[in-house]
Amino acid sequence: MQDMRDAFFDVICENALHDDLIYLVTNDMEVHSLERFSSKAPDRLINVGVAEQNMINVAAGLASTGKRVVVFGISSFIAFRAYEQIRMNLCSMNLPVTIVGLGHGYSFSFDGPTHHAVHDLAVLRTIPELEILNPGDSSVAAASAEYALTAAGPLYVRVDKGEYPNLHGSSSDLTAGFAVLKPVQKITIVATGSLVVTALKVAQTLEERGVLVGLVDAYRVQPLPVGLAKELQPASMVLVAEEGVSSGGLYSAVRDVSQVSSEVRYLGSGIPGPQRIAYGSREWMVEQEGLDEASLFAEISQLAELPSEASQVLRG
Amino acid sequence: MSEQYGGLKKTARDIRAQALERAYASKLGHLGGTFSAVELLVALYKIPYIRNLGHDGDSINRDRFILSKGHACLALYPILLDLGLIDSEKLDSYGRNGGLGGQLDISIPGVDWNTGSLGHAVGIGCGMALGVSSPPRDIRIITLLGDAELSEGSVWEAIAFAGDFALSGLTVIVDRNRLAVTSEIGDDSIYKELGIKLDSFGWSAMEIDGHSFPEIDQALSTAVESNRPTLIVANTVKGRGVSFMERNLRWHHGAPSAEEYKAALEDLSFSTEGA
Repeated sequence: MQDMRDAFFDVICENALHDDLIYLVTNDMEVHSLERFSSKAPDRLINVGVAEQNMINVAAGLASTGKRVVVFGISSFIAFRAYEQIRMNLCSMNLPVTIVGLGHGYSFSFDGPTHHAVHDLAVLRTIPELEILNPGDSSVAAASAEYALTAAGPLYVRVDKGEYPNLHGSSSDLTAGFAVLKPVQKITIVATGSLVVTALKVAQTLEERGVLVGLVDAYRVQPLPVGLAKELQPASMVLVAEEGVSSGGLYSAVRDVSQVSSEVRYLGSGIPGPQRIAYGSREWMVEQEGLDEASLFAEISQLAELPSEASQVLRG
Repeated sequence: MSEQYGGLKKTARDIRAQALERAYASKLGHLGGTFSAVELLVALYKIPYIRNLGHDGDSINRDRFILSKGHACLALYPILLDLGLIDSEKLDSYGRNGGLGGQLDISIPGVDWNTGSLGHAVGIGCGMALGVSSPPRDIRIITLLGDAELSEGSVWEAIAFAGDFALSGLTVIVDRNRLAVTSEIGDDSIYKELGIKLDSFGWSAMEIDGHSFPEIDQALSTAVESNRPTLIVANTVKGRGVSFMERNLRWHHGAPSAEEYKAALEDLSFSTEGA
């Protein structure tokens, strides 16, 4: 287990210490793994202050002079406040700038809807030039950092806080854009980011009860790999799980690449409703949205037509 | 020196005539803000203050210029033609489907940034100035803004940043033609004691006649040598050179009729003689 931020920023830090062309730009955020970098190369850690529009513009200008720029800050403030700067100055200019969005989904659960990054994937997916990675484990997070340092164009990476397992081994190849964690079945979950681990637990519990459910980790949300549609062909029920809005998010992306037919049901297990003006733990927030392990288990049990008592097991 | 400025004045007249002709032929253009910026653009490109133009050769070691008020592109295209960066066929494509448009983009040789939205160029210029400062290089970063653009909050984010980081390589010119799309931009808020504001942000500030080549030349030569980021308020006249377009909101955008085109061409032959 490793904090996803460490998995990502350890790679960035190690490379940046030895490469003068790498610049880090932030809106007054601190990341533990970058302490070593900030003490050794303070001139290449640019804190623009709480000025997200300027942060993206400065990053764009820097990148246009041959620098490799990694921007980091709270997802929601970058994706929404600096949308035009991202669209115009990074994406229409096709500059190799990576935006690291911290604050995945409800991870700033106690700070209200201003801080909830539940619309970021939906909003940023409207910019086709922007590649989007949403790691669900430490290995994809580390591989995303490696990729960020070589990508030819703009990239958005959602990096969560908290401990994550390594689900993919040591491979740093993100070419496929997705990984099959449980072979595709009639009922298959396509999960991204924080929901990958949750979905894996659900699939494992169901497996123990003799129900096989497929699970795909869709870590590249844009462009969503075309191969994913082919992979999903044996499925008749596809449940798309994400800590974000379904409409416009991964759910919409999966439907976009799939041959939608009446034979296949697509279910969006994401955040359906209006902005949640509520304060509590992330676990509580996620439970409110029905995205916790017990809720997903119940949802899939129902789809699999398991007896209702079985679906109550996880709820205790 | 005066001989040099005489040549520039002639160029400025030619640029206006070509811009007018393209706007007339295509029925498209922003002539008011185009004509206010002509001397500034001619000085930048012809004295020149922008060196090592174009996308060929070294992509890093060259000066950069962002025409933030990209809607003044009709003044720039004929300059790029004059410099041999585009050909007449390209200029003639203005207003045609797939041809040169009402804003700039980097597919055009000599253009460093895609334009169209206001409030971005100073921040981008900050990033550029920071990027070329390590290792230190003699590279100028120059931007030209419309005066209405200083209402954009992102401009002030960038002004604060440039001051904090002492970005001496950055020069911002403001085309102070005093007219936005629908209203006049007076001296009562943003432009009230602007020099004092900028000084407190760590900038140098100057105010000049934006149609006077000697004043533009003097200001730019000071700005590019300054150890602070520098903002030049260039006082101009919207629609400069065509009497009935001058200071007239109607000419923010729009094309002249046949009669207006003829009258404007005649006007251009005389009105800027004394500039």
